[in-house]
Amino acid sequence: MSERDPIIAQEVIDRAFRKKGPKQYTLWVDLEYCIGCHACTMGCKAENNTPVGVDYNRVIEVEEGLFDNPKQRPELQVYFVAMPCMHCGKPACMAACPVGAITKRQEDGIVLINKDRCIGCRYCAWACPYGVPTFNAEAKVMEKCTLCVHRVTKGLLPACVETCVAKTRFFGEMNDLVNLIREQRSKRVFLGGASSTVPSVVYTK
Amino acid sequence: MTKEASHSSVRPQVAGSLCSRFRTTKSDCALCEEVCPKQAVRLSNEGPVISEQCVGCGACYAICPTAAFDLPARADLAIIEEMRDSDDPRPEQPYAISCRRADTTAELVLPCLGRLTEALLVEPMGLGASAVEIRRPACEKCSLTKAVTSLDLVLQRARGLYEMVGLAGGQLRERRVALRAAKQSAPPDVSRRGFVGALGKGALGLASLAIPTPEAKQAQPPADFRKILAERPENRKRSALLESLKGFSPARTMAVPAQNALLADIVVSRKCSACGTCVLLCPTMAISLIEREESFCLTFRPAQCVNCRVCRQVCNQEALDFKAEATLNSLLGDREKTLLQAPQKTCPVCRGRYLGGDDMEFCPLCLDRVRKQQSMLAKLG
Repeated sequence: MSERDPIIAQEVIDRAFRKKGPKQYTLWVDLEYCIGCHACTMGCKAENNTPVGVDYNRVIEVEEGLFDNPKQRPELQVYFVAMPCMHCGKPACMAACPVGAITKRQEDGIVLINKDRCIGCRYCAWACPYGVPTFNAEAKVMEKCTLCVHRVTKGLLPACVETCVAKTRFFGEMNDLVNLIREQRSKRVFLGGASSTVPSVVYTK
Repeated sequence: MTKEASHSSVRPQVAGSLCSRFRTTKSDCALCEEVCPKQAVRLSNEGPVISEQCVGCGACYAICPTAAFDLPARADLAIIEEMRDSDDPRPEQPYAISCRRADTTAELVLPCLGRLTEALLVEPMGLGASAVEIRRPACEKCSLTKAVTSLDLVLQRARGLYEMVGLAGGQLRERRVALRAAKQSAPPDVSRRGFVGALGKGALGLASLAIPTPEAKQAQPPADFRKILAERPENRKRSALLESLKGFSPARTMAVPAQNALLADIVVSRKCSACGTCVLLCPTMAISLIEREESFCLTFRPAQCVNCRVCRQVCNQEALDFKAEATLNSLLGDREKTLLQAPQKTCPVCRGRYLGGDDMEFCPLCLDRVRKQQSMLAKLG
């Protein structure tokens, strides 16, 4: 497979940054081209300086099919699913937090944990259907993907998008990305079916 | 004789960090807001705020289970001290309690009967009075009528305490008295000199606000939320109740329905995930945690429990529950009981603590995460 051209124009990104008023920044992960190199995980760790055991972004390897008859061709396939925070429309973590430490920002839809307020009870991890929040055993607080809010507010792309080797992760405003996917006739897939938490991260396969 | 003091204009002090609403966003307690006759109490997530409309009736102090309000001039402990130091209550005589718009010759005159607490009803009996008589005017005609909505509850709770220590419930009685007209305070005389002087002072105040002070320039460091939660001053209202009950011995085991009771009885099941949230958020330190390397032990002091239900509202695992009945006898003597004792381990994946024996290699949360992700990805497509 030759290296493909970026399928998302700079214009889409610029439009997302320029957009005024309430919006939902999010990621688009194209599972078809993901090679499972974990560069996004490492880029994220380097950018956010997370300790051992705390990952804002994980890549899960999924094996499908069976290889039970050695005389036949194995019917197997492997694909990789990158799991950042879904920055849900109705975050289950926010509803579960007993001290109101989790907020969803109106201006860009990013779900953030206020580490000054977090008491480390881990209720958000129990509540999250994607198992995203992780416990920082040193600081005794919960941490999760912030969509690189410190970069995004400066007009930079999230670290995972910038490091992605296979050019399979894109950043943008949710409606723009969904429209783009529709134009390109990519097949949108949903994790665990449609979730009640209204996840914003878009997957295609 | 304990008479109406000049404290009634003093506003209660607020310790916002003790308010259930500050401690958890799950709490829907709004007792103080409901009982305030002047809508002077406004609740926020940072606790209650008292505005200028406050008339100092003390109803919020009386109703708040977690003692987020304090009356600096005349709290329960101060009144108990007054009772002990004075000749009242006289032995074998009834002890009268009234408000300043009813019988001001009563032994104890409160700004409003909504200020009554159980401690003030128990203490006279401990000092040998034959009965406690509430001289109650036609409260529904008073402008503070909302403040007495909780009075019946306080009387009912106090009767429960009476029965527990072997007094007859009838020894706490009510007597209707006439409601006196409210004192009209005359508008203050304003002289021209006084007016200009006051105006000048106000202007000075405004001007000084506009000048930045060196302290205002420095950004306030964010107060450590967890530290504020962990710092819990003694619940002085509960201390007063325990103080008033000191001389008594239990006559019978008194179990009351847990709803609206003075205290609760808590049970914790093995569903507990050892998160310690109930311990941290309890406003009275009734639940505490003895944590050692290998074991986890939750203990409970029923005498400190104020039935605020914060612990149950926050428990994510629904491991903590309230018994249907609470035993008032726990208020006599501050005993500690063990709620849960279990071996504790550290998860090799997330390095969080969890309860489990040798059969559990990982914490239930990490296992739950794997299970969730597997079922989620199985349906991908």
